[in-house]
Amino acid sequence: MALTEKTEIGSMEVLPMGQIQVRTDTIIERDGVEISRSYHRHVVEPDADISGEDQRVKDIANTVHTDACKKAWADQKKSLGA
Amino acid sequence: MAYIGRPLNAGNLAVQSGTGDGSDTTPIATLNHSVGSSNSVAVYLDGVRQLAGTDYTAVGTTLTFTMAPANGVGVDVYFLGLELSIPTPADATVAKAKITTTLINEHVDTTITASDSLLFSDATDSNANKKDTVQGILDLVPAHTGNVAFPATQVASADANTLDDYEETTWTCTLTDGSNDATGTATGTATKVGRLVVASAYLQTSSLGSVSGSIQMKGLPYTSANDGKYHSCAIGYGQGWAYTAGYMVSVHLPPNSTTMDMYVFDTAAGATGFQSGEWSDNGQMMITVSYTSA
Repeated sequence: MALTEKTEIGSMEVLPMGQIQVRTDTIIERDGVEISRSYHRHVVEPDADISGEDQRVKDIANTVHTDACKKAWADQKKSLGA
Repeated sequence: MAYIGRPLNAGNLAVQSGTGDGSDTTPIATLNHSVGSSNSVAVYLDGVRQLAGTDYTAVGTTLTFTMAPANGVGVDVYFLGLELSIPTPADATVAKAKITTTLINEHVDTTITASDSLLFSDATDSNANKKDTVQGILDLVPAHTGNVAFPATQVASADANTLDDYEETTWTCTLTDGSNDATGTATGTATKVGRLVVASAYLQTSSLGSVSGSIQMKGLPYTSANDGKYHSCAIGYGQGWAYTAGYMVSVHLPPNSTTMDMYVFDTAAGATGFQSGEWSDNGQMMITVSYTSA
């Protein structure tokens, strides 16, 4: 019997202002058969540092986070006083 | 002597006649009515009753004599019982009103126990080899007995009365000034039911590092709804704070955000941002927030 653990990007959702909601799945398998799966979530906002993100997240961020998207995000943060 | 035999039928029996020619065993080529068997007709030759199955056979609309009736002999066929056709309703034509209420209620009241599952087969699979369980947003498969399981990826609904998601997850809570993060993060938990998120974390930093100015807590697992609404956060515990005694700390989550803003309130200055100088390197905060997600 062999237990293995692996992580994978289980879901990515792009919100209207460009935030990417990322769900990272941790999967436990016994002899190749999944016996457990848990989630960890984080959100990549348009002004976020994506250097440590999964390549697929980077690919989406590089496409979605245009200058216009980043400016809209910065304007919104400013309007909220952040 | 009393009459012995079948009771008389009301109405007239249908009769069909013909004439023998001495060679044709089917002097009546086609019966006017289809019959179920030889006993369904009474056959007479010049008034003499013939024996069904012996002197003749009748199937469908064909009457066949064992020996051809002689030339000029009258053939009379009395139809005693016509072939009964039992029609089959076309698919999807039997309305509920045509079924007894008892049967309908028995169907509706069927109880599914822990060991049961509802099975369906493909429309083209008469042997139910492709049977499937009731699955989808309501998951009744045996492996999930007693559970209501939702898809791993939400099938969002805008309907105000529809529950479309359930998810349990963790998230990483980090103290930040918006540009720099403190060292020491907390793995929080969160549960999302529909659009409602309840997230908790117990953050304990070990060093503020380059954090300066107003501080925030970031990393919520779902972005709050972009609806202009702010959500209050409950602080259950705090330690390692260096603000003036008697001041009140508050935290809230703005709309369209995953970062919670932290404030300190005093009667003189009102609400001002919680400053990094008011949080020690080993500061702690236990927090819970419930909010509507995007």
